[in-house]
Amino acid sequence: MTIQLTKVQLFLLMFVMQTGFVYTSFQNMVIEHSKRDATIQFLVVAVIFFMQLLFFERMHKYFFLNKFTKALYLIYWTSYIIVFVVYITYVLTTWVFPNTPESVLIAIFLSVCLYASISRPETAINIGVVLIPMLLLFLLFMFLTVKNLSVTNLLPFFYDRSNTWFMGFIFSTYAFGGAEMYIVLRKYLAKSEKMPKKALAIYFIILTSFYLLSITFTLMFFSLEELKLIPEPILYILHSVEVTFVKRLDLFFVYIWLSWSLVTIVNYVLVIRVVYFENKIKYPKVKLLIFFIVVGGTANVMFRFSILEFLKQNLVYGVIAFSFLLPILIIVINKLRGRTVSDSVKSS
Amino acid sequence: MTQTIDIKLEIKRLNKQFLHSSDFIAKEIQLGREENVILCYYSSLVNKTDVEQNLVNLKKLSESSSQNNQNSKQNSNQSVINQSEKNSENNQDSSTQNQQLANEETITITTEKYDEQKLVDYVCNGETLIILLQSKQMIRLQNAEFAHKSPEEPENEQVLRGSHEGLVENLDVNIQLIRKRIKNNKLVVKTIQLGNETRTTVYYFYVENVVDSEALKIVENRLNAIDIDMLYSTGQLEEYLDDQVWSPFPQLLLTERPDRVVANILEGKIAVMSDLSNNAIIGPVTFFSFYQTPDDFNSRVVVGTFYRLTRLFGFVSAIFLPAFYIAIVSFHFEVLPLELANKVKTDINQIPYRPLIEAMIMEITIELIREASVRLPKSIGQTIGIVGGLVIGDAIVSAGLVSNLMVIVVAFTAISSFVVPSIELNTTIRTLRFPFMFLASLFGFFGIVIGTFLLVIHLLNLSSLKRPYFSPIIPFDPVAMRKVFFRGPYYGANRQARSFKSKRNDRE
Amino acid sequence: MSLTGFEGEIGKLTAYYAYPEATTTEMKTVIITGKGVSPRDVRQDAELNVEQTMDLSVLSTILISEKTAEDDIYNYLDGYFRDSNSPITSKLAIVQGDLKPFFEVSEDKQSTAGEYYDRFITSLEENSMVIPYTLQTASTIIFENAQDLALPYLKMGEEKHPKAEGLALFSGRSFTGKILTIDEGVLLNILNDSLGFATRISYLYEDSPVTVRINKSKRKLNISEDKIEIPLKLEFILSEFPKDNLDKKNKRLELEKFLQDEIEKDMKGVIKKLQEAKCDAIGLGRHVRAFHPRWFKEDWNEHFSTLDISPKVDVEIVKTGILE
Repeated sequence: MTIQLTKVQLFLLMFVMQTGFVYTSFQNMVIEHSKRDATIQFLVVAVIFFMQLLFFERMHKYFFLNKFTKALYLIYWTSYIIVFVVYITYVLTTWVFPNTPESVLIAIFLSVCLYASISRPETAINIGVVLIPMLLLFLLFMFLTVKNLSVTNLLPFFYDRSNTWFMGFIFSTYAFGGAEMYIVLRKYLAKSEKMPKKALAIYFIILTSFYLLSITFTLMFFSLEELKLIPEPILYILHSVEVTFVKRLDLFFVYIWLSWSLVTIVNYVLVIRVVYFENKIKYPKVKLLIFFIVVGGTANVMFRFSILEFLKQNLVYGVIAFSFLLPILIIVINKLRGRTVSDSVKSS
Repeated sequence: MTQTIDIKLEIKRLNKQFLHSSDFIAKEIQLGREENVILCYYSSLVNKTDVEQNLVNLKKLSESSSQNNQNSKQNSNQSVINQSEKNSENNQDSSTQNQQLANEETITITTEKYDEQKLVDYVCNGETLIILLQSKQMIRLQNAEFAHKSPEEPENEQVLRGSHEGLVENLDVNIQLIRKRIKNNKLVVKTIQLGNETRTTVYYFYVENVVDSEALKIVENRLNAIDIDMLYSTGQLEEYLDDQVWSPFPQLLLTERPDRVVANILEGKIAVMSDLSNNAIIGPVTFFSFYQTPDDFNSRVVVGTFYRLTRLFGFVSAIFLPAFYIAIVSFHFEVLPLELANKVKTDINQIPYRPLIEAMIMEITIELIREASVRLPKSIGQTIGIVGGLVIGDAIVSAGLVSNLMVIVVAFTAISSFVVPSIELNTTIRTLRFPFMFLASLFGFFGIVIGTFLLVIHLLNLSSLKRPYFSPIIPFDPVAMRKVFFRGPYYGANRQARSFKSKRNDRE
Repeated sequence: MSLTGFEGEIGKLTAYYAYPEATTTEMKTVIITGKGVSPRDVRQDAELNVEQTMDLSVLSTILISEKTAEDDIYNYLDGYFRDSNSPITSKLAIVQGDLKPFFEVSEDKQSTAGEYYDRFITSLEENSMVIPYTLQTASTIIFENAQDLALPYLKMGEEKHPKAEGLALFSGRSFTGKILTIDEGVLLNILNDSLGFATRISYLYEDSPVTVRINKSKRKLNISEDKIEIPLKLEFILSEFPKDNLDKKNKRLELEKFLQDEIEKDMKGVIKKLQEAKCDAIGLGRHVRAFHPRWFKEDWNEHFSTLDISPKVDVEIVKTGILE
């Protein structure tokens, strides 16, 4: 099953997949370790990932997955989605539905994702467009909190070092979690489309500023001590804003974030479909159903606060390995061997 | 002599074939000196004056030709010819005379070889046939007249400004209404007969150089593939042409207005019509085509844009408002500010059952009223409307069955659901409310979010004649999107609103 | 449940809750009491008296008695932050004496009890008499060691009406017991650069009352190792001045000089009080930490009271109302 993407669609997919999961929670971890230098550390990591993006664009001919790497990525993506689902359920049950059993929640939104995944791939590609107005709404809400921000919290840089300062860099990579998707999807870009560097730069600037906004707002809004207690700063900020008519803005944002996350899951499953169902296989729908049942079941079992904490602390190493290092490794190996994508297509 | 006997036999046979129907006339008339011919027709379907006129013309024609014949014969005949020769000559004369008769073709007269099956077809179509047994030919007089209305404005699609003409149930008149708006030879009309028993004429038309050729192929394939006995409504046609029959959303636009048909055809769409009803089926369409009316284009620019946006908002409020109300009242009371919450609480306190039941009572009442008002005779329609509104609205609140706020919500919803300019989408929207209400009463806002998600995915999956249903949002086309939501002025070099890529890129 | 109040201490806590009860025509306010070990426990106890479950999602105001506030105030507030349903935009206030009269007053008010106090405090904020805080922003400052809280302080007036008495000064997480008066509160707001809509200061100038309203105020901070200067530039609109004739320039200059001296003197008094209470309500610590991190010390409260802080006021009268 192959798909044809335009530039805009590719960037939209990337944007949704990279911001989907981590947006509300990673600021906490970064700031906890790097205190006020979070902004600087984040910018450094952003530059590193931008370089990686340019590198991908240059070398995309050399990237393809053989059976071994496909299996690796399947495991990685599945576990990423499982963590994601656990996290979504956790947020939903703490913020909105204290009394609903988690299995019901998981079942409901996974079945929606299943429906989206069974349909044609164009549906999954294009569903991200519906999120764009929600994004604007979210930015509007954030800007309503401006009068409570104190700018002086952003400085001083490099003053207050804790021993785990370096961990701030590591946790910032969380923000760019889906970077490997670019190179995986690159070969499905329609032949007539060119990818100028300017487009990449614009995309990356948008992504970075979106995250930077959240980090700076979090820093400016809360005091450092307080931040240790708050696992989801963005939701908390919205919880404390009162617009005239509507009191619980965070409810709206939780639902916006929920639909965002569902679209992210659909997009990840789309990439999995594209990679694994490339050659016609039998009963793709049944396989998808099994996949979702596995994900849902595992998430249900793993639903504990302690496990979630553990995963949040350690998944980032997986992100670094699979998003950052592995694609580069694959490209380098293939370049040394001199094989390109067209070779792999002929051979398979 | 033999002729007459032949003719009588033939008439008997024809009567039997037409099952002695009392409006089928087959009689022998004399057209010209020698020959008698059979005239057969359905007396209910022909335009008698025209037929008379044609017969008179034919008679005159045959007389003058036989005159010429006689003259020529007399001039050329010098020797004595024996009887058989004369007879044969006479026969030849009459046959040549008839041949000459038959060779005349005018607008309404055509000549063909005599074929019994085809005769049945032609007579059923309302033509008058003159059968010339000798030469095995038949002359067709196409003077059919079918009863139809005059092109008045359709009641269901009214506009404030713009043409007030409507399509009718007659092929010629309809095509005339279209052709007078597109005076161009690129407008092509094609016909096809569907239904083995009913043999309905279905015709479709498009403009050659802008039409979406793939969609056209699909339409033709689907029409040709229809193999049924009876075609008696346009709804059947619509189902055969649909991509997904089970979806609640209409994938083809039905309209009775020629100006709407013309506007759509010029964008590259195809219109299918039949004699059965005055609705034209237009495809391929997008979801937003259902929200365009000619009113937009006949009003001022800013006003047109404003009303279009209002209509789209009407869609949102028609589906979601009752669900929001139920969700807020049942689960999320804290969303309301304190004063409003107090009022709502005092209202709701006295209702003995949950908001979902309350909402269902009101909604079903409104649906019953609406369904009944379609069939009310005009004379009592107004009265019942007032009585229903006042009595039901007021009394039901005082009786304590439903709260005030609920009545407001339901009334608002009903009004916004009628805002959509197309009737099928109207019914769809009103039906879609109910699942959302159920979801909201079970899961609150979460249910509404999940329901919206499912709805969006479903809409994305829909296609109208294999074109995506939710263009131009998906696939994302920013230029066309502006045209959907806003209406730009006509001056200047701009392109007309276009849903799909048409062949020509520069128009006006 | 729109109004709650705590008194006592952890281990022996009493709380009051006021909620509106819906009758057929109107809302009546009902007060219930609960006793227990901690705020959450108290709520459990109170629920035993009510026929519905208590829902704190419309909480507008929290009143804390001053004795309770001398404890670590966060102990009482933690419960509100953890529950996602409770709004953290509610207002806080410290009250003098017993809590019960405050609740009884609100029983027969037209609006619900919490709304009454909410509007009370909001009007104080708009007049720049108290620094605007919500539960959330207050907790941020509780955790911040570079700034301290100053909450509205209410007491029961003579005719059984709550009266705003001033600002309660906090140091770290607990109430110091020291209060600023309302006038000093206004000056504190000027120092803090957090003015509301209408800020008025009144003085007696040569036996004639003069009241001015602040049009604009600009504050700068000059920070050095152990001395902080706060140059303030204030623009005034004259609200009341029976002595008139301000068209003469020297008269105006005299008035301006008088106001300048008075305000500086009063502000010095305010700062002295703040330093005595070890309460940095102006947020000087944040500026020091951001721009001069070398001079910032972790125990800012202590350090703050040793600094030499001097405000310098520069006054200009820009408008005089519709009279000259």
